[in-house]
Amino acid sequence: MPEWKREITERLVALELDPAREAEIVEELSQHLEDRYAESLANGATPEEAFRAALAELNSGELLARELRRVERSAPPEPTVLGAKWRGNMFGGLWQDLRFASRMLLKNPGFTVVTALTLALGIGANTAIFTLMDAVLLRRLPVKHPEQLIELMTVNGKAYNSFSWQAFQQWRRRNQSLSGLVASSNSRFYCVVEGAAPERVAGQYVTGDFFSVLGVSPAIGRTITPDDDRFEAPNAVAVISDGYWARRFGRDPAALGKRILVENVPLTIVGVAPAEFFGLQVGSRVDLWTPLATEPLMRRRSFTSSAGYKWLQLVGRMKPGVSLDQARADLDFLFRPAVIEPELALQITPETRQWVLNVKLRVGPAGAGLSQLREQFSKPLAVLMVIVGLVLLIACANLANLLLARAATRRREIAVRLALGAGRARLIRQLLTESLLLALIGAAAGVLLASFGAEYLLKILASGRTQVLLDVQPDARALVFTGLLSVLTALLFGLAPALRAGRTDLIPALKEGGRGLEFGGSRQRLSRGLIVAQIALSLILLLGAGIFLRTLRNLHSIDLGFERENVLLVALDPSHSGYAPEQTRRSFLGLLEGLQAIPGVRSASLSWNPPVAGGGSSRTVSVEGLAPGPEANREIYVNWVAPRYFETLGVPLIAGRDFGSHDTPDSPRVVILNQTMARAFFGDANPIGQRIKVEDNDVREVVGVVRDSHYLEIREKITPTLYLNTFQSPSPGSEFAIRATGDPNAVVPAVRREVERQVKGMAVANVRTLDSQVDAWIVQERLVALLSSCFSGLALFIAAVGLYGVLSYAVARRTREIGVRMALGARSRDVMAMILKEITRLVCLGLAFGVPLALILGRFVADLLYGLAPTDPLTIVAGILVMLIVALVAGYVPARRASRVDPMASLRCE
Amino acid sequence: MNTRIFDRELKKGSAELLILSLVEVRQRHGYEISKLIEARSGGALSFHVASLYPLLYRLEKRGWIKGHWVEKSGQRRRRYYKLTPEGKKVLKAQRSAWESFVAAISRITGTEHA
Repeated sequence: MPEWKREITERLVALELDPAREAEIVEELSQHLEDRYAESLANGATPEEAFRAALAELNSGELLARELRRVERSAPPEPTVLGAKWRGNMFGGLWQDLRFASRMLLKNPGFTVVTALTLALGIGANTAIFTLMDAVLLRRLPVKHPEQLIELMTVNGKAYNSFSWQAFQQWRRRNQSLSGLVASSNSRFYCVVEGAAPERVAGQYVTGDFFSVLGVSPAIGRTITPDDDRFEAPNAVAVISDGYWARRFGRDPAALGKRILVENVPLTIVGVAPAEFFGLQVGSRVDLWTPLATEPLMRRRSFTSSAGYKWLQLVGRMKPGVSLDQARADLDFLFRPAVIEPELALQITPETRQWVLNVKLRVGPAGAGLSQLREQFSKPLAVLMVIVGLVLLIACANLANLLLARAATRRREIAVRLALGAGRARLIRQLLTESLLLALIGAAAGVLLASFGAEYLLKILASGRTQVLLDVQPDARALVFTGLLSVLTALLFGLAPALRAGRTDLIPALKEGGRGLEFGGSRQRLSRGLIVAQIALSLILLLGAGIFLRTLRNLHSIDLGFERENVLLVALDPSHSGYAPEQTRRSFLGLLEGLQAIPGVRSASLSWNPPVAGGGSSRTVSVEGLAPGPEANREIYVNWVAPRYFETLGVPLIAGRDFGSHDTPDSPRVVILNQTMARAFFGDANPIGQRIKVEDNDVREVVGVVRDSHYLEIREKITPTLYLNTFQSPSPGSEFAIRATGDPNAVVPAVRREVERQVKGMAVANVRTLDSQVDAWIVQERLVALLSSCFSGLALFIAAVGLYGVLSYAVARRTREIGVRMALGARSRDVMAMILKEITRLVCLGLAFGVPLALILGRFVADLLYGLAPTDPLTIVAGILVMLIVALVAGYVPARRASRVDPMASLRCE
Repeated sequence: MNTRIFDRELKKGSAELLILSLVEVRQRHGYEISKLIEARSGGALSFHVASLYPLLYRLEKRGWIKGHWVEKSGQRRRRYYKLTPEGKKVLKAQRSAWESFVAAISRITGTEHA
């Protein structure tokens, strides 16, 4: 019997087939030849003839090899005839990859937990900030065609969407570009529903076409119509929000048709707005809408009466086909007659006149709601987004390094798989699947983290001065964002190590076995590059945290002029109590005495405007006998305060006396000045006894001068301020200030009891400490400082761990070299210095990239800073020092290990 | 026209169809397939090892036929091929394509003879 197998094998050698496959082919083909041979013999051929006939089947052999090469060596069998099969293959492979990846991850639980945690922090932080950003900046209003909505604003420095009734009329009547222009005005309504305690609700006056122009249909009942909004005969109706309907009426449909008393005007509820409609301002909720025409019924003096009242927010809908630019040009054309001219026609000071002339109109898109919240939060949120983005980048760089090191230890495994016939592309896909799985585990934990994180961030934001009611649970959009982010992350940290592993050289890797040393210089270069990147990015975060923390410190150390600790601020609401002004005056005097008698209360007083609450009053003031000049007739901030106000706030009296109980409506009228006022009006002369005219006919005698203190807000420049005696004015203020001997919150119950006893029926509108009132101004700064310092700490830690890892690896790799050096006479100190030099080199490279980058980025945050520039040298030097110290600490352990290498042992172990 | 090239192209184009048809009813091994082609074509068509087996492997890789080793008592094991469900679909399509192709060709060549 001829040796068919040898004949065939010889012809297949060049193919270098997988041995198992080759054996199979040889067996099958030799069987064929044998059959042919046997048949020829049976047909009477000689063995010689039969052998030739059979061999002829193999032809020259070249054909066989060529044909087989095409089949056996062709790319994976992915027939293009039927798509279904192809997809099946891909997912089949993916499933296999995923299973293998999870086995690999389970095999190294330590590695998996650490990396997944790092990723969870990075991805979670990104998701949390994105969720907030989405809610504040990106999400569209739940109205029809939100992209057609625009808002009007006046700009001179800050932008305001507040206009007079007169301006609104002009625009509404004369514009060409809008299919509708609606006005609304927020107001806190005192609201009485039968069978419930009176309460203040968030109300809004709206024009009759408000709902129809926005395209908002009622959940039940009807919305407000133009017919309701006729000024000559308004319909006293209200549409309530879903939230208010649930809160006050338990979603009872019988609420329709109910009458409620709003600002003492009976309104009939005619409809409920849909649940998702909260109004036009993202972050706030309206409870009740009523026609604008009811405003004159509710206010003693209607704001429609004068162009001086700027109280309406204007939102328009562009006609289809009209561009924003066209609308802008159209509305701008009417800006002078609508806003500037009526304003100039008012009696205003020359300064105000100049200011008015410089006001410009801004028309902006309002599809995502009015811009107030956006303007306020977009910058800090963008900064936070960049910060968390950088943290994730650092985490990726670190993970890439970890994976590189792991790829070195898995080198043999990879080589074996390549030797067994795994394609390099397939191998890379497998390694990327592992990265993706890690990223997805991180993302899942991150979403969990983000849902708490976003709530927490919102709570901090909402403790500020702007009401922020938002839904920040991660939604579908946030999940899509997180999903994309985790894929990107996996590519970022997984691609380089995977590609590198795909390039593994089989023979040396197999020969070397599992020792995993000496992966080649390019791996070292790559991992060093990653370390330098980590150091550079960490430095940026560090410097960012530095300037934000110093901003916070600067804000904290502003001398407010009063002592913020231990003061309780209690606001009463006398407006609907039924107290006559004289009765209020008498009972407040009694209440002050009662409050001061409470144990733990040092002093108590009251004022018209509470300190640093964002608002104040001003009057035109002149000094008797002073020649008319720029200082002669000025708008001056005034506040009406009771005796002991300055003592209670801790504002020292510089000259003269405080108001006293002997200053009554019937006694001569008196004022107290702040220092700036005294200096501005009287220079070095003694102001005590001088007479000051407030407005036209109210002449008062100066009895005291107090130290300057902040009135409206904490960042203001101190301006001249006049204090009048609140008990000498027709109705006293109702903002109480109480200085306690210790924690002001401890006296709250006693204060409430005293209020209940002395001024029955008067509501307590608000209780807070002066401390929190001040802090509310710096919530944003505190949030940015807090997060940037937390994240820069995290980034530093990650970078330090990365540096430690890379140096440890380098030291281990160079043990033999170090051993030789020491054998040749190098001292421990020299070796240590060598390693430390290496660290310094890496850090300096990182700094060389990081500092310029930080300076460039710093320019974008300049307006978030207070009292320092983004190029603050002290911060930069401190940041560099911290970076260096952290790097040296991280490198110390490996350096020490290197310096302790025993030359004999290291040489022997090779 | 060079008839040898024409033959080769024809054979190439029809080989897949031939093999699929032969394993449609029952499973066969390679030698059997080559003998059947030769016999049924009256010797006009024949496939050598060098062209038959690469073709079988290609069809198997595409998932149209499935080969498996069968051991029968007293014999060496042989590799048998049978049609897969997917192969069935392909065969059906190829068969009808072939028929319409042949019909079209004969309509053209037929009228010229008439």
